[in-house]
Amino acid sequence: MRRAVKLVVACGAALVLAGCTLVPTAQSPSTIAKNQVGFELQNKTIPGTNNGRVRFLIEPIYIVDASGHLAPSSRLVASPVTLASVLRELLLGPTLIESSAGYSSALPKDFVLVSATISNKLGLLDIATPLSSLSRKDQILALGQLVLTAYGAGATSGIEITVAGAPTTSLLPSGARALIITRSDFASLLNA
Amino acid sequence: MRRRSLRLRLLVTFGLGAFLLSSIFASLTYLGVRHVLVHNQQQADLQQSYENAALIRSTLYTSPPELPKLLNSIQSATQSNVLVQTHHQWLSKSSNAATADVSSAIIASVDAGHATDQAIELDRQIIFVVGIPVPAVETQVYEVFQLKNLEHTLSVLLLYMGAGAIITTLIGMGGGLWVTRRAIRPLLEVSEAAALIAQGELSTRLVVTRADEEVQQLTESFNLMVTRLVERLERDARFASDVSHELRSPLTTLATTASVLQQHRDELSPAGQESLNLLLADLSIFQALVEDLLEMARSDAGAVPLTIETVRGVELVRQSVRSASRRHGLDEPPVLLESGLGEPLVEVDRRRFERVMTNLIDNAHRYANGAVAVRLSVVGGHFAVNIDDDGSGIVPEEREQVFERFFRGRAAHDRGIARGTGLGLALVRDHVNAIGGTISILESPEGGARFEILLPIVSEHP
Amino acid sequence: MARILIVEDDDHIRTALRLMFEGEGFDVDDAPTGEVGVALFARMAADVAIVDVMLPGMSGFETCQQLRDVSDLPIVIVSARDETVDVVLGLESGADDYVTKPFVPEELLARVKAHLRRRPDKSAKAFTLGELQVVPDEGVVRHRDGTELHLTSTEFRLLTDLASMNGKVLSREDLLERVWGYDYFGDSRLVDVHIRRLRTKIEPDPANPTYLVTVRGAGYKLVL
Repeated sequence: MRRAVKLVVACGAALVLAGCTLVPTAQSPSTIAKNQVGFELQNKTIPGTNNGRVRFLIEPIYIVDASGHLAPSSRLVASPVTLASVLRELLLGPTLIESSAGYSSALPKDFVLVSATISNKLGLLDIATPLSSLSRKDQILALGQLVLTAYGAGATSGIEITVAGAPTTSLLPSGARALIITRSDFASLLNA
Repeated sequence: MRRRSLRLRLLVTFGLGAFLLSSIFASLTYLGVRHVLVHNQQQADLQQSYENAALIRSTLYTSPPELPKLLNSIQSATQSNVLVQTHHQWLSKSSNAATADVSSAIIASVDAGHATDQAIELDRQIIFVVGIPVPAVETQVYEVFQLKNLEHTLSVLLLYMGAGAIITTLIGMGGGLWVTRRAIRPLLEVSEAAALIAQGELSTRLVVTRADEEVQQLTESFNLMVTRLVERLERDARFASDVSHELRSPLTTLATTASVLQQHRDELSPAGQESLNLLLADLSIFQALVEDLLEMARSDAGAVPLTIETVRGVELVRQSVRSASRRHGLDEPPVLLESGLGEPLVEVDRRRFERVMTNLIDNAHRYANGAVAVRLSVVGGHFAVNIDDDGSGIVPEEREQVFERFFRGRAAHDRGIARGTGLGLALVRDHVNAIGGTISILESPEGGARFEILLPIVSEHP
Repeated sequence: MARILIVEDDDHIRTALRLMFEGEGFDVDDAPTGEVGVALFARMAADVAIVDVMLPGMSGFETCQQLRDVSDLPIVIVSARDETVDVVLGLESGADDYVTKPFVPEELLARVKAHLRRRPDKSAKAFTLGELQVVPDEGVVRHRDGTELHLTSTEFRLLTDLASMNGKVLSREDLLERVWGYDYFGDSRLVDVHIRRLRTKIEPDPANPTYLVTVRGAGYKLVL
């Protein structure tokens, strides 16, 4: 009789203690069956579209390394890849890891890209404020980043920059100015 | 096996029982509620994460640059942190999100193509992490939910459950107390009544008050038992008394005619004279026995009320000793006073005290060559009368038994002397108790028996 | 040659008593009822009487009273009961002593003889108690106006014994020994009842005695 009582007491105590941790946690994650997941999220294509999908492609961009040269990096860009989407990634600047390794971007944080299109392999960039407010060195680096990145995105003939729709000339490393700037103009800035 | 209080055991049982029951109930309730609450919360969180993942999917389809803004707006709207991964890299996350929240185990499972969830404890906080693979946009969406509200709710619930258990336990104990008292009281009443009856209050009965059937039965049975026993006792007492009473007249005749024969002894033949001797001897025993029986019966029935007088103890003893000795024609033992005795006054029924002294002196004569001395002293507020002899004493084992009726101790068997009635010492004790004293047997300074009577002193006579 | 009247209804006891007292040299008048007893006494006055309480017809108490009315002979009542109320009643009826059955015949004999012996002490001096004059040698107590107070010999003896003590206390035991002749312890109730009876006769206020005074724990004394 005494043992039975002790057993019951122990059970009771255990029960009581079990409730002590408030929200139960799991040792390992549990999977959810596909049919439980709503919105057909696990479909290969996006519902409501004509088999729409998005792919992330690795696109090259160019940032500035510690020695002041242009250096290539890459970003994941969602399909469809456009000049605009690639340049947008460029404008986000270096990642934390890249920054801690000494990389930076010459493009200012307030740099606004209004639009970017490619026409006959020529990239047309409309920006809000001119780059002339930067130092000469920065201007050249920034332009270099733009042109090289655009080249990788398909603007193989070079880029033309307008400021609020008004065409402007861009500074070249040589010091001259040109309406259209190409990759080869800025290739020297690359770290060989 | 130690005896434990029934009351205590009942109380403990009640308290423990109440505690156990209430804690079990509270635990079960708590666990049940918790399960439901947690499940519902997690379901809701899952639904929300599905919605958010769908939003992310459509944003990535339509306007990928909006992703960070979307994530932040989700965060501010729902207080959950969202992270998006693609190609094993973190694509974007809401401002308060921490990638450390998402464990590699979850990532591995999601990468394997399964929507996954897990509640984990991180930095003393419980978080619920949901990971959903969205193959259509080649990303894995992770959402981290804080369960603070849930935790709060559960803690309140636990508190209330705990308080409830404690209160229930206390009520249980209170109930136990009440039940115990109600159940035990009749038992206590019975034991009290029984004790009173054992002491001699034969009119004690239990009062029939309760409506409880069992208790009523007990009460009635008990009362009936006592009444029957008392009737029996009274019948027995009356019997002895009646018998003895009936014997008076024939005895008187016997005694008187024996005296007449004694007067004409010389006219008898030797055989006749010897027969007369025997007749006289046994007749006196017979008479003494009947007298003692009568006295015993009267004493038992409480028939003779005491006439209590306040007398000087020393005088009383002196006179008693003198008359007791003369009555039986014995040598009178000296009455010795302890120095500084004073003049103690005692309250006694004189006749009974005389009987006591007579019996004791006779006893001493019969079994121990007579009483050597009667010593008087004061012992702790009592007047002590010690009748000492120099016989063989009374062995300690028999010192209580000798006061029983018709007890024949070793001494009697040893000596083969003229036997007493067997009631002498029993009467002595009855009378001593009746006058409020006590009697005990010790050893006399002469090595024989000492009968010590202690009487409460009323006051010191100046 | 003393004469004894025995009033006892039990034939055997009465016969045995007669034999015993005759053996001791008494002249015995025995009667089975109170009426016969009183008649016998009227014819031939005995010197001492033994009366049983339980009698058919006239009770022992009544018999006692009737005998007492005409004589102050010592009367011993015999009772089967030892109740105080019976003892008191018997003594109040005029008896001098009482004995319970079963009695030791020798004791009864001794008591009867003692009562016969102890006549009033005529040698004692006369004395006054307020309005009363006690004259031992005449055996009377006279009121101032000349009327005589009727006391039994026992009562008279009690009074004179206490008087002879000159105000000293006599214990009950002493009185029993002196007045009743008990060598051994008798019943102190005898003394108490007799004192009470005496008080009703000689005290102006029997409830608050001024002459016959009780001394608590000791006995009685006579204050002259």
